[in-house]
This record gives sequence, structure tokens and C-alpha cells, in this order.
Amino acid sequence: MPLEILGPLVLVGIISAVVLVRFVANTPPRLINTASQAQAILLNEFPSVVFGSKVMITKNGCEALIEIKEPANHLGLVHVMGSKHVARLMSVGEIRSITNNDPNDLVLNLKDLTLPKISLQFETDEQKDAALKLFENLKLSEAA
Amino acid sequence: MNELPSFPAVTQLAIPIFIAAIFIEIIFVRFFKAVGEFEVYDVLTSLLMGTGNVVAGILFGFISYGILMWFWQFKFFDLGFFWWIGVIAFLIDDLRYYCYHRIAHRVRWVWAEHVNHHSSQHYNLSTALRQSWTGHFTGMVLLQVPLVLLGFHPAFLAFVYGFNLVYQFFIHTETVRKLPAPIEFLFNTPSHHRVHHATNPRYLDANYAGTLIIWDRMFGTFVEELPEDQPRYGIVKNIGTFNPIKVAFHEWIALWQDVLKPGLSIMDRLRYIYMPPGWSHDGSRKDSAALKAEYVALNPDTSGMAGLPELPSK
Repeated sequence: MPLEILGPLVLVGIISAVVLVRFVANTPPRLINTASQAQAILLNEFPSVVFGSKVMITKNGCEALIEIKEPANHLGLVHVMGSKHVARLMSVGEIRSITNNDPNDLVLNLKDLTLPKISLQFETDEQKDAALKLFENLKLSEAA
Repeated sequence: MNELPSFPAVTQLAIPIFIAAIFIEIIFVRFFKAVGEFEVYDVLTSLLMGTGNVVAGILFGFISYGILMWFWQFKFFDLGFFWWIGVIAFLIDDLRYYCYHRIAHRVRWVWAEHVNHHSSQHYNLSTALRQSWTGHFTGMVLLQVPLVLLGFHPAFLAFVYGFNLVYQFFIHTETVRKLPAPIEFLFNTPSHHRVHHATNPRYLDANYAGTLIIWDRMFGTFVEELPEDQPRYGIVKNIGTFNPIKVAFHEWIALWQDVLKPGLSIMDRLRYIYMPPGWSHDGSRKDSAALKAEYVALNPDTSGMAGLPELPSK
């Protein structure tokens, strides 16, 4: 097929399909509303995991930090990606840095090419501090 | 010597059909309650990956074709271009595709180009177009060399393979559940291919077929889709991006990061290239065998079922 036909055909096709999905058939993000929902998502990908007691859900429902007992020295992360989720079991070695931003924000930088940076926005400063404590516990248990 | 016909580019000619089919699937899901789901960034990424695949074919297709044409000079026979030779070529090349596809899931070097296609957590016709940009650089074209030496002209092989790819487009859907039993027995179907795209432990590394599922039945890699184990799509460690550049190259980058890790032996570096995805020199990751074993340990009643190992005897 000549490029002068193929090119516009592909362009029109992509634009049309995306517009059609956007206005007719798009699935909205599946936000995280409860601790059990976040744990269930993590359990799908890591069925042997044993949970701790704490689950921190961000104020927009897009992320959850999940305390993990087993495997040791790990922290669970669930992140909304479109209408699906991405789950990670993070160890200290997988975290590049944590930046303490605005009053209630943490920015998590990961050594993960496809998920390098996550902004965690909490309702209150206390919740942010509780999330920071989870990361500190991770570092302490790794160092022990 | 048989004169070379001018073969049409089947997959390019099918592009309007692909676009129309995607529209029809969207309409059926939205207005007729057919099974299926769409997400706008996922669809966009898939279509951009497909576009990149076409561009890569235009730019680099000469590499694969050139290699095969070099081997054509050593052919044992020249089978010509009769239509029934095309049918035979299609069948043998479908077996070749099964072999390529099985290698693509079991050897990390080839997985690095194939993983793109599996990276969507959705399963609809746009997913079919989420294709690799780097397929011409893996060396898998060498699997077609025996066919060329047998006497199937490289251009004829490319032509019949186009039909294989067009067929496979239509099986990337949740809207079609099960087809009549004879079709499910012989052909790759939406149900069989949903299993292939799933990350449920029982479904990992199964149903490698292109057009004919008989190869999986013959070589022990067939797993039926079970209503009680609904497929979850994607890859074992799902990607967190819709950026098509990252989608295209993330596993290549991860592969080279592993190969170049300091302190490894030469053999461990090579193993990161040829061992299955999930292998690690220190056992810190899980390959599909380990994931299946873990699943059976947690669900002992599934021991020995299709796609799953037996519980180890005590």
C-alpha cells in the first residue's frame, strides 16, 4: 500500500478509535477505596504474601501502601493505572529516594523504568507521617 | 526457475478491516453488553505500538528478507508458487510460528521483543496490534531457513505468514466466548488465546499457537480456559506506563542491566540471556515454574491439573 495512503489511513484510524473509546466506551479508573480491596489486588500478583496491620490509601484513591509481614523487609504498593492496577513488593533496594514535599505529599522514586515516580498525596499530615514510618521500618528491618 | 509473482502486503491491506473490526467491537461492548473492556490510554498505546511495528517492518524488514534470500541460493528444491504449495507453506510456517512463539516465552532474549505484545492488562482487538518494534533483531528469522532450503521462496513465506497474522488479529477479543467444538479443537480461538495472554499461574506458558491449536495439543502446551479461573491479562510484573517507547524497550533495558551487573560469572551473564524470563542468578525472582508451584502449594486441590505441576511427594 503506498505510504501516502497508509499514513493518513493509520492516523485517521488511531484518532477515530481513541475518540470513540474516550466518549463511548472508556472504563473509568478503579480507585482504591478500602484496605481489603488494596490487599486483594496485591494478593492477585503475590499470593503468598502475609499482610501486616497497616494500609495507607492516598486521598485520591490512586495508591495504597500495604504493610507486609512476609516476605520480610518488603512494603506493598498498589497503584491505579488506567482502569487496572499495578502492584509491587518493594524492598529498600528498589527505592531510589523518598521526597517529603508539601504538607501532605510524598514523592516516591523507584528503580523501575516503567514506574519510576509516584506522588503519594494524603489527607492529613498524620497520614503522611504514618506512611513515612512504614518506609523507615523497611529501612530499619533491612539494616537489622 | 519459477518467476516471482508480485505478492500483496496482506497485513497492510488488512488495516482498514482491523480499524473497522475495532469499531465494531467497541459498539458491541458499549451498546450490546458484549464482554469486553477498553481504556483510552491503553488503546492509544496499543495502536502506536502497531504503527511502530509497521514502520520497523518498512525500515528493517530487508534484514530478515535479505537473510532468507541469501539462504535461498542453497535451496534443495524450488517448489514454485502453486496455490497448494501456498497451503503447505502456510501449515509448515504455522508450525514454525509455534516454535518461535514457544521460544519467545522461554528464552529471555526473544521475550524482550515479544513482551510488548503481552504488556496490556486489557484484551481486545486493539491489543492485537500492540506489536514489537525489535523483532527483526532477535535472529528468529533463522527458524524459517529450513523452509527456504526445502524450496519455499521467502516472498511466498512472507505472503502466507500475512494470512496467519490477520487470522490472529481476530482472536484477541473477549466478546467471542467459545466457538463450536470442532473449531475449538483444531484452531486457535479467542478462548485459547485468552489463556495465552493470562497471568493466572495455570495459564502461564500455554497455547503458543498461531492459527492451529493442534501444535499445542501435540506438544503438551495446551490449557483449556476454565470459567472458574477467569483470565487476568498482562505480564507477571505489570508495567506502570503507557509510554510506547518504554513499552517497546523496557525489557531490553532490564535484560542488559542484568547481564552487565557487577560481580557475575560469564555463565550467569549468559543465563540472563537464554534462561526463561524470571530466572535470576541469586534465586530472588520467580519464573513461571516457580509461580505454578507456589500456586499449587497454596491450592493443593489443583495439583496435576492442566498447566499446573503435581504437588511434590513427601
